[in-house]
Amino acid sequence: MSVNTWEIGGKKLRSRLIVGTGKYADQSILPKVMQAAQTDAVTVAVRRIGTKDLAENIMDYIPKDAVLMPNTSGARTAEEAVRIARLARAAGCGDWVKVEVVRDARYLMPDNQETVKATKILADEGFKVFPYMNPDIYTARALAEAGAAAVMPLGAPIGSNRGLQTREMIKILLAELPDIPVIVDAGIGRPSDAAEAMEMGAAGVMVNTAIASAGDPVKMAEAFAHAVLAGRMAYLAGLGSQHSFAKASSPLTGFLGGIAK
Amino acid sequence: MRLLFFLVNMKEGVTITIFVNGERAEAKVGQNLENWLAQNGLAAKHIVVELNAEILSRKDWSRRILQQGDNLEIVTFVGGG
Repeated sequence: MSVNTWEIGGKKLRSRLIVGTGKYADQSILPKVMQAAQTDAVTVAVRRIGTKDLAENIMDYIPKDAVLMPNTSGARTAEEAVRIARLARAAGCGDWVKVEVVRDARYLMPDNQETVKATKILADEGFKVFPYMNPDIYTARALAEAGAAAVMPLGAPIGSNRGLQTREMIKILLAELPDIPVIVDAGIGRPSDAAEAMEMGAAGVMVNTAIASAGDPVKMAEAFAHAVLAGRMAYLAGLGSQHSFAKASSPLTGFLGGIAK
Repeated sequence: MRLLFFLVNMKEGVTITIFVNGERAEAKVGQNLENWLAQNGLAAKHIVVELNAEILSRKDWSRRILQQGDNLEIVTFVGGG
């Protein structure tokens, strides 16, 4: 699986698939999901402790050596994102953070400007910042300059399972910023979406809802692992170009007597 | 008058009001944070504590005495994407 190993945010990961831990009816299947996904890295959120967290905490189901990417979901401003990131880091599980700054409840669109502000502050404090963003080359450049470890453009709204609706914008990002890893995050609804993102040249993908809400999350995680690998292999193998007209697979000469021509 | 009030509150067993995750809670006068957390079943687990907007690392919990009106935010990791 050497095509899948990856150095990012100061860590060596064995898979280009990062898995979210939200929306699981039964969190106890998470270790099996992570194993099926062949992933080392997962995202989590930060919330006030509730009474059920006393009995069962998500950290009970995440392997000790997993790479944790806490997100700043809930933050509406850069200031709130920075506060959440600092709290997350204080838990002592690493210095990765997914900056997620959202001010609309309907589409959960990331606020690119606040995301850049938070990224600058946190990168300066030594965090490995993975900003969730709306694909736009100026924002991506600003994030790279601010010290982000990668940029994470959305494919479609969080949890929508609608695939790469922003594919054209992501392609532009990949073309214009070849030096910063691009991790497509949000909206990936099926393994073929993940494969498509990897074929385009994305460095990795993040998937939550598509796996958590599948009929069989463990099997779906396995499907995604294969898709990410296939997409990456295809990208490295060099995809053939597309054409408007047909190009015959065999010569147009040497037909049998009486056939064609 | 203030001295009398102070002396009264120095008595053991007198409680103070603090705020924990937006709700009123009680602590004993002179109780330290670590003690309060343990009493409320919060000592273990992956929790992070912010006291009056300041993140307090675990090693400082036993040294920090809770005061009337202290505002605690106790957070942990939950599922997320």
